[in-house]
Amino acid sequence: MVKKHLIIVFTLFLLTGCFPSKKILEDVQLVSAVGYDYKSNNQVELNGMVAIPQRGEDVPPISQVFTATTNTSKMARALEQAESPKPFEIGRLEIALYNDRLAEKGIYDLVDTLQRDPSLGRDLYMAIVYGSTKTLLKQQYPLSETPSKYLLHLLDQNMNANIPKSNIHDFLYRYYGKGMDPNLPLLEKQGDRIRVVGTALLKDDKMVGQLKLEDSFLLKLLIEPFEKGIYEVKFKKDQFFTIQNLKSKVEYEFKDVKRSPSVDIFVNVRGRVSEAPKIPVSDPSLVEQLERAAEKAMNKRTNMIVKKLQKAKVDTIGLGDLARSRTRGFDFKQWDDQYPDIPINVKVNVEITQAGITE
Amino acid sequence: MIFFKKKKKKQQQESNSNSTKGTLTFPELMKKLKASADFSTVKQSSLSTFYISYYKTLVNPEFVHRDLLPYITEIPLKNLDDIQKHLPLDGMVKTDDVHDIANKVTAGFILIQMNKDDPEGLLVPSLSTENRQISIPETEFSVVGPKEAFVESLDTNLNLIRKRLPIPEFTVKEVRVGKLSKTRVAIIYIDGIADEENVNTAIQRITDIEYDHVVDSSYINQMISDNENSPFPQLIDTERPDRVASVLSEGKVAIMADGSPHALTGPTTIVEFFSAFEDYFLNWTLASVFRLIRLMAVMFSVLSSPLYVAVLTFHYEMIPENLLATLVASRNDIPFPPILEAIVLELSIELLREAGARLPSKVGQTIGIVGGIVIGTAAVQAGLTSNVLLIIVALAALASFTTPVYQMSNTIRLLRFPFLLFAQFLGVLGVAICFAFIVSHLLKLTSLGRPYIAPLYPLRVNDLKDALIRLPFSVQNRRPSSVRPQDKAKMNKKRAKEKHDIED
Repeated sequence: MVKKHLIIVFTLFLLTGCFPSKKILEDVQLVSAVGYDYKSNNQVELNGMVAIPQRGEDVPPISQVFTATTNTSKMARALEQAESPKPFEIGRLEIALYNDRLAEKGIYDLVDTLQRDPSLGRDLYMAIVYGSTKTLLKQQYPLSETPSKYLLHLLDQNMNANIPKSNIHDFLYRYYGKGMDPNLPLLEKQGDRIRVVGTALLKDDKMVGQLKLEDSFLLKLLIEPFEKGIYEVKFKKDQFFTIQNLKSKVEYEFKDVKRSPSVDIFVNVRGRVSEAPKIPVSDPSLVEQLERAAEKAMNKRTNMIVKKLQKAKVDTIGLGDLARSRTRGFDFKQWDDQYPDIPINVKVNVEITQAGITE
Repeated sequence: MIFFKKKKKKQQQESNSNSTKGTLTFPELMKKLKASADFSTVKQSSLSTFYISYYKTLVNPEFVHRDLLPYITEIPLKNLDDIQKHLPLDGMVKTDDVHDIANKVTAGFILIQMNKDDPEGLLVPSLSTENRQISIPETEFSVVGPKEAFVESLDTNLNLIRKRLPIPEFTVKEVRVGKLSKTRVAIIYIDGIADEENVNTAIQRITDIEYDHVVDSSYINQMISDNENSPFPQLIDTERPDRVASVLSEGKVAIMADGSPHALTGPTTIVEFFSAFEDYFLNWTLASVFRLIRLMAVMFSVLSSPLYVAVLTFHYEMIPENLLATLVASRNDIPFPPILEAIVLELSIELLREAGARLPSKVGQTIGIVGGIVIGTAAVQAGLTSNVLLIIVALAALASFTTPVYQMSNTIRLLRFPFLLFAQFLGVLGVAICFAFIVSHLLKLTSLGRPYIAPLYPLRVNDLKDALIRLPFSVQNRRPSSVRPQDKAKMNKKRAKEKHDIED
């Protein structure tokens, strides 16, 4: 018994080399945002933003950008390492940005390196940027301590309201999944602000189209149920009102998928009139008119969006996958061929529950 | 092998010498006794002659002159039987057994002989001991409820329990333990409720104790515990007679030693160590919440600084985004790696606690303040520790004080150090491995032969009513089944639920 214990203890001494390597928090350089810019056909410029905490209690961290141009992003990281006093660690990455030219060429190879890194979470945000990501990351923004924090909170709150939810997990799910295509938020640097300008529509990993911010709200209505967001409707001449979504729900109905498919999308929006200048909303008879006006406007616009998606052959809503899940012996090839011409009908039903109190 | 043989021989020799001690003659005994300055032999020769011998330091002289001598000096006496007849005292023994005489005289009996060298004598009990007044409990203080605590006298302590359980089934078995100290140890249980096996285990283990002196019940606690290498106490140590009375009524066994103001109760389970007796004085909702808070405090106390070390050394990914800047900023100036920082701080807290415990209470307070505030602040300003860790360690120390049983809180103090080492070597995985070690140790542990983590494993759903939470008295209708009480029901459930209030 004693001998057995001695052997165990002795082996522990032999195993000291097997301990995992340490990454003590303050001895590593945490990369909080990366941006990829298009350089030439094969070369990508990698911009890594690090936030360097300053000494003292109330001093905000300073952000720095490391840049390198290579063919592979891991090599770029190695080149950037040459300038940094501490080793880079990518585990606290908040956001990955892709330049629009790069996005048109395809971003899968760049996402793949992030996907394979076990230290990265699946809630990493991705976004496509008009223009250079380097200038966007280098700018100091008065609204937030570092660009990465700004971007993180910006996307966080916008994905609750106006643009479809999308992180690296959603992207990969929609990329690998058949019968659906990913979408990513579209950003633009405007002076010392960053602005969400809309949604990028991707076919596989290539950007093939964009939607404006107002249309992104409608796209979100078609994709997922949610509880926020605002849409402006024209009521009569010179009369506008905004409707605030309190709760939306979407249902799909597929007919005759195997031969000549047709799709009906029913969107139920329960909302309240949050602003209506020049309209006497306290009049109950008017509420019905407002509902009809909103339905009409949203119907028209959503049908246009669907047409646009069909024309670009992107299935951002994921209708192919939904059809597959409801049809025995579903044929993707046939669906893909038919997709641009399938009659897709969106019916929005608006119910206004409150018109009085506004926030 | 030669080494082992030698040892065995030595042991045999030792035990031989013990057994040969048996023969002692009366004159030898008297010689031994008289060697002590406080032993006195008085020759009384008024009407008849007899000798009175006693220890002046054990027997109150007032007793001898007021309650003993007046009854026997006035009358002519022929023999010891005459004396015994005329003395209005009980517990007298007439014997010629030298060992009995030796034992009794040294325990405070008065020896009366007709002749100086007569081996036969009458032993009159007259022990006078100095007792401390019954005071309020200090380690298990409660705001509401009884304020009595045990004292150092076994008889007083038994009185405190017995008056709470005035039934004939309340049984006290007494054993003397310790070759030199001959400490009176009482095993207390309620006949008909307590499992005989538990009682027998306790009696057998106590009679088996081989030691020269037993000063306190905590000696017994260690000597009879199922696994004496375990850091976990296996019997509850309490100074509250009300707690002992209530535990006895659950069918458990209590052990008390003379000269010790603490009772041991068992078989016990780990959840009992985290239930304060005050829980029963509060409404069940409050008591349950406080118990859960206490349990969380224990987890926090054991795991917080190991997790800090693990996360900062290996898993920076786990740190929430908003905390990152604060943590890095506070760690930036510190020259030590997290493990050293944590060990230094934990040790200094332990140092303060030890210093506070060893010093008189008034100085102890000052040490607490000096240590807590001055050293803590200075250490952070000097850049030796980060203030985040200082907060964590201080909170962990505070949390460990919430454990109601002192012995358990000591265990918790110690438990975090292996966790710290594992955290340093393998990160959160190491913490998990260490946790697995501890859980498997607890699974193996028993208290008087009964499983230690009983209501949880083996699962006893009925016992869970008074384990992690405490449900109201109206549903506590069964005694804990892990103790295997002979009488399982505490009350008639049906009758307890009836309401006799008149409602209009």
